[in-house]
Amino acid sequence: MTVTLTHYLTLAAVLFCIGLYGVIVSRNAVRVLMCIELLLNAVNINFVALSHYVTPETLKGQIFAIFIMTISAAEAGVGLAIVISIYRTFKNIDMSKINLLKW
Amino acid sequence: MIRNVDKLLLGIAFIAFLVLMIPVLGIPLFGTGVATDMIFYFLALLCIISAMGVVSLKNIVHSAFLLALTFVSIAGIFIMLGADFVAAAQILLYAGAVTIMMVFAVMLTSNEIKSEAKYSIVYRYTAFIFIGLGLLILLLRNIWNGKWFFSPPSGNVVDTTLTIGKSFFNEYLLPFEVASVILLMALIGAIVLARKEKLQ
Repeated sequence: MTVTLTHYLTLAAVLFCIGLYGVIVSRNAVRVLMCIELLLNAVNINFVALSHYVTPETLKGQIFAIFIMTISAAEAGVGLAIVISIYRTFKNIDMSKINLLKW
Repeated sequence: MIRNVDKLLLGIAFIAFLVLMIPVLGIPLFGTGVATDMIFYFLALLCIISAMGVVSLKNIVHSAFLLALTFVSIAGIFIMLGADFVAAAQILLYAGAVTIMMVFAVMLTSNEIKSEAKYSIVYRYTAFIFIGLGLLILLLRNIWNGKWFFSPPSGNVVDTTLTIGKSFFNEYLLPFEVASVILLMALIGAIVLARKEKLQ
């Protein structure tokens, strides 16, 4: 079976679901950040695949993918700084124990 | 199980190395035909399996390295899609910088990296049913039933770096500058957040 656009979109969907499941069930905050990176990568696959098949001349999807990479690098940096700051306060990065804002 | 993970990682890395050697050995990589499909399926399988490892492995350091493997295989998929600049940026930014940052965060935070507490099995199965079955089936149904109107890939090859660079400085100049400001804000914000509190 020749590889078409739907194959790439399927791969991205599977990867997105794995990442979302990881975000929900992980208790380690660093692992949650890793799974967020997986989510962003799945979206990037979608953008690049659609760029290849829909606008092969202007490459709009690839440009958008590069913007997403920039934002996700910034997000990872700030997120890890927040995790380190939480670790200083709680001596723990268990997501279910960080509950200052919950009742 | 945990003791065998190292060997598993080594095996996966070895297979990845073999696949990277394929163009050197003379098999046409980007011709139409069976070789391209095989490489796509291999990269997709590698990507999905290592992503599952990121979610499910007990030792978070192994998860970090499998995350790098996921990023590299996604870069391979980008190369298959003709996006060489994005693939290079993916390897530089994700497999290089983000993975190292994750390992640093693990080093600075975790007190038990070997194992972490898990949610109850009911919670995990509920999440799996909603995400793994519900959302996945919904997405796949729409992808496979949808009508995709795309232009057939034309023969002429676009110089991706040139096109992306020109677009950045013409059409997308404002987002480009905003992105630089966001990076500066993230830099300062990360320093402020991670800095130690001032001693009295």
